[in-house]
Amino acid sequence: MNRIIRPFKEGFVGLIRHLAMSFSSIMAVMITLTIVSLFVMLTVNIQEITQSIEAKVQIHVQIKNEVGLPDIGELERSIRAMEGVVEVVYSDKDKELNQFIEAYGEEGKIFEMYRGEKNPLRNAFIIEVQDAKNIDAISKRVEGMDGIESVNYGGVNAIKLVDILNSIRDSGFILVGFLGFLALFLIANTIKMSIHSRMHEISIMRTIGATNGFIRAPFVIEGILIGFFGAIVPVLISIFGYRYLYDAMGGILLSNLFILRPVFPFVYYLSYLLVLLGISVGLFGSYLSVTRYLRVYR
Amino acid sequence: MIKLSNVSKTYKNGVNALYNINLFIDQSEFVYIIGPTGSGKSTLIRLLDAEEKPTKGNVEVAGINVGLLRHGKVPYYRRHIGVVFQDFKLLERKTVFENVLYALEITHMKPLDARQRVREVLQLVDLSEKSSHYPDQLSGGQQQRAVIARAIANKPQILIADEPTGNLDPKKSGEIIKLLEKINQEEKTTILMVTHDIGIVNQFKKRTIALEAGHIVADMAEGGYIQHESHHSAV
Repeated sequence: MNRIIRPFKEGFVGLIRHLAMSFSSIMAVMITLTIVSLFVMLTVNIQEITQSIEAKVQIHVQIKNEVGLPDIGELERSIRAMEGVVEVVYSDKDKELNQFIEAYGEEGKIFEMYRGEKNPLRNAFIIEVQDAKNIDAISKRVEGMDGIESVNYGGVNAIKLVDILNSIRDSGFILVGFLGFLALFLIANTIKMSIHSRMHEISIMRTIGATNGFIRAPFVIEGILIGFFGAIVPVLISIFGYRYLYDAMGGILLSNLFILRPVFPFVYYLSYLLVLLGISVGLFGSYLSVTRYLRVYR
Repeated sequence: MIKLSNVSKTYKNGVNALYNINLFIDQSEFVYIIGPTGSGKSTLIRLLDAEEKPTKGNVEVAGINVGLLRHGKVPYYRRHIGVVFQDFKLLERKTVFENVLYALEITHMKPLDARQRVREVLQLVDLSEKSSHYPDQLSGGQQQRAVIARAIANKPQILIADEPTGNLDPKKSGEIIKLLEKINQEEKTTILMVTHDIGIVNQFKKRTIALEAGHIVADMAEGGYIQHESHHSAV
């Protein structure tokens, strides 16, 4: 039991006795994890928005009136066979009129008179595509087929926005990668400095007959504690900050088209990730640094 | 207890520290190692302490061939020998009690037994009242006694003292030697003390081995006087 408790006790005491050094390490972990947290929030929501936009983007294809049912079936098969096409739904002119009327609500009722023979609308396909990027290419190909009257797709601006969001994410990734690297370097350095200041102590421990494992354990625990404490503030920022933002924006970004990732359980997963990252950085940072110094002494 | 056979040590930088040393020290002996700076005293201790490996020959301590110890086994070996340094080497962030306790914790001794043993050795070195002090709150003599307490806590078979009186005034030095004598007699610990303090050597007479330029130049039984220029080879 003592073997397990001792390194924890020693690690904790070490943390407190080198308060200034510990504090700077904790700050470095804190800043890095906060950046990571912000980046994860951004990425996850861009993905969420992209998906919700893509789900709404579809191609509306009007079929010429002279095309008969057998040929319509043939057209449907060939569109379905195209790469990037997820689903093709046939909607005849009656259905189209129903939707049209529905879309206008109460006022749409005046269009009831067009039912039957007088229906000016055309039979149509509704095509869902896998990736919004391909929507233009697929539209052009469908438009070129025999028996197609016209092709429309909405959300061109939405697609442009997805592109912009993606490039924001990509440049954000580079920035975060750079900052993360900088912070990791900072952490490794602080831990190294903290161990360097204790080289004398480590050499004495070796002289008395302490094994490397025995010497290392408290340092590693200290590193883990630094990582853990460094994760606390970013976790709080993630949980309360994200909840506040989500509530303040009503769960959407600007319009109903852009739905944000719901707060729960997302923030919990994010918190686990941050704590895990903090502890790992502390553990590996301290383990590697102590081991490096232990190799010096016989 | 300690047996050196044809031991030579040449450092990587080409310095020859010891030449063909043959030496035998029996159990519960108290031996001085004397000699000027650069005579090889420190190297001898580093060999016994497993800090260095001999270039040639065998260093055998308590039946262990020290030169052949693997890196991972060195800590376990060191628990059989206690080392007292001139510069004390106390852990500054630990109290006297914790410093001594640390030497026992590394052996995974039961906490209650360990604490009992710490109290015993602090009593032995007459430092019980300072047990909760930090090293920088102690005088040089008190720090040296704390180091001795730590060195003997594990009941080592051998105690190596490297200039233990080097930083102390003559009165304090005498106290330390008396303490070492007490440990030698009461605990039957073999004691090897490196010193250049001829006053002490002549006051507290022991077997004395003189080193010069890496050679043993004298090995005198208890009672003899040191003749500095004697160059007869040791047995």
